[in-house]
Amino acid sequence: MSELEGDDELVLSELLNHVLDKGVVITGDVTISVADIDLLRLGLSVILSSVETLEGRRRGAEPQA
Amino acid sequence: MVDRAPDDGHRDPGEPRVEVSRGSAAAFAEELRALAPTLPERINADPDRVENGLARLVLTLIELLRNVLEHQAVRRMDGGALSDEEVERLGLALMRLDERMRELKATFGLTDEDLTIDLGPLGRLG
Amino acid sequence: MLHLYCLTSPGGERAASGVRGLEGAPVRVVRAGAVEAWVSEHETLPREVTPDLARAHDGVVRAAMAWETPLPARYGQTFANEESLTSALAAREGAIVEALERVRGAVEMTVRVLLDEDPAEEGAEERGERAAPLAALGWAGAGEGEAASGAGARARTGRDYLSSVRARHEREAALHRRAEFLQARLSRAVEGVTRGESRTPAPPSSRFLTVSHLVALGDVSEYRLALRSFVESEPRPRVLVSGPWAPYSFTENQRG
Repeated sequence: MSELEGDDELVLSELLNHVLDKGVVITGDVTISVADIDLLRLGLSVILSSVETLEGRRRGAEPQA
Repeated sequence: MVDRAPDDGHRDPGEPRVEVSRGSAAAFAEELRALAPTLPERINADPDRVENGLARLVLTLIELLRNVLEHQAVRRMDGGALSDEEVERLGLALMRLDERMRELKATFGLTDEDLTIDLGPLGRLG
Repeated sequence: MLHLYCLTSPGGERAASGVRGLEGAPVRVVRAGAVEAWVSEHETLPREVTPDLARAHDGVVRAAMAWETPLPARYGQTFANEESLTSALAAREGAIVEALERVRGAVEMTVRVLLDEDPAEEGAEERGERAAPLAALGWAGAGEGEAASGAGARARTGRDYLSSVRARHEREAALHRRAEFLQARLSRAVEGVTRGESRTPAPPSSRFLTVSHLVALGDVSEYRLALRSFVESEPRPRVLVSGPWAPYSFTENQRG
């Protein structure tokens, strides 16, 4: 194996592959299971982030309890 | 599985580095470039873009189904029980569906990689 | 809004102090029961991800990594406030604690293997000739469709279309068989120095097999050595190895 010197393109590709496509998603996801086996995991982070953002704005406008 | 190492003595693993087998750097760079040619423009991390999540969800499911349909169509064609006219109609319909899906994917800036689902224990389809 | 970088066990306050994240924003920890979240606060964040933003995100994850192996968060998760963050965490606390235990003291190494090469091409490489790009070999690009068919798509018959679909399926089946074969060989080469393995999902036309391994910190050099036996076995696979990373691929229940 040869070590790459300064091939920023490859290092960046690998970085993006990890940071954008992997990692834990806690903002929201749906897992569809059949017979207790998780078959589909759909990341809905974009949708649920939007909902939470709206909620947050609404809550922010209300007087403190 | 290896036994868990003790927690103390944890140290900074350092910067990630990339190594390639001899003579392969160009091949990898070319293939990876084909995967994500315009990465920064393609990724929209704006949480207010609800359509992004919905489009991805819907298109993923359609592509999943379309893949199964195409496999079935090929099997039927090879099975010999379809008339020439039926094969022609089937092929044209699927071809149009393929064209339409390309347009939709392009509209939302989604590639086949974006629409990949991990089927876990089911593994691959066809 | 809060941008989430990663999750750890409680106690990371000192490790997080002084750390800067996206756009130089200061990083702090938010406690939620048995877990802690590393976050930074922003008025707004850019719509598009840039390499600098991605690096800043991973930079914070690696700062946490110097203290304890974290569960890295996928880029782009934001929360309106601490309350929405802590309630999202509370709902998943058990699974997160389990995942943290699984990755404790370990790092991720990622291996990519090119699936398409023709052994005859390797001779060409050694003779100084550039290996033929995939397109020239007639393999369809992912998402781009068959180069030959693109222009004449409308002129083709339905039967022609189905025939090209069949041809594509056959190529994909060959790629799949090769990927399975290489993955099995790779797993055998590194078993004993890995705690877990995760294959990255890819479309059937993908030209890569991508596998990530969870490796105890102290085993990384042995892992690299073990990889060499895989790389040097015939027919020589074309391999790219990257790491060490935080365990981006091991945040859920992966087969060990």
